[in-house]
Amino acid sequence: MFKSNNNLLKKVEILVFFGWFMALIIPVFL
Amino acid sequence: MLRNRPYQPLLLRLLHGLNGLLIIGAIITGFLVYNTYDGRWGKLPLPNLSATQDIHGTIAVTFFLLFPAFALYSFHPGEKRLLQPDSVKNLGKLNQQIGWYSWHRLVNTLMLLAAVLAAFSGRTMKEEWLPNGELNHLGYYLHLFSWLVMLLCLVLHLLMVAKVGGISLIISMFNWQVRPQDSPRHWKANTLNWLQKQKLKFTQKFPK
Repeated sequence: MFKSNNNLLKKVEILVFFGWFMALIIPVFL
Repeated sequence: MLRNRPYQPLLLRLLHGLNGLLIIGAIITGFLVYNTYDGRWGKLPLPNLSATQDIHGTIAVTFFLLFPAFALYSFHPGEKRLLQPDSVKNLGKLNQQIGWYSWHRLVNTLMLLAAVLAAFSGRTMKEEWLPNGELNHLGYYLHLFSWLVMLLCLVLHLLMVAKVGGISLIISMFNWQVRPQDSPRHWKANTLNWLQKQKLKFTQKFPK
């Protein structure tokens, strides 16, 4: 159920969490 | 008949329901904020409510805090509902069920990306911009663009759900029934099991 060989989705996941993290810290730099 | 009805895991229904409500709320209040302070691309004759910006902000912060849980669920237990390795090549097969499923999965994945774009662009904005009439900031334009993308993705998401699963799939998201194996009592054990598998995968990938 939790096993994934979906590399494309893995990249999207990294992008989503990176985006969320950037959204978290961006007000500090503005 | 009852057996053929689609069933959605309880955690998915809860997270999807909460995030969905917050997204719809943010789209509506976002439009009201635009309608109150901007209106350059069209305006509806609605009362100007300055409080809508605060309501929009509250919804946005709640969504921002809840989103990682939904994203984590979507990319792991719910990954079959997202883009699959063969999804892109199947997009053209619209005479087959797999073609529409691939579009459905693509749109679901795009919704997660659109949500992050909306959250990021919203976080670049300052509360005083719109009340002060400062409408030409890059962050505001990006947030307006993300509003449009989010709305488009929401419409496509609803159309794809209706296309692949019809009314029974839509109803399954609002169903209150819980199967015994899906009880919240098992969530802790399932989460620990998942964490253990992730740890094992990590140690296999990066051995000491």
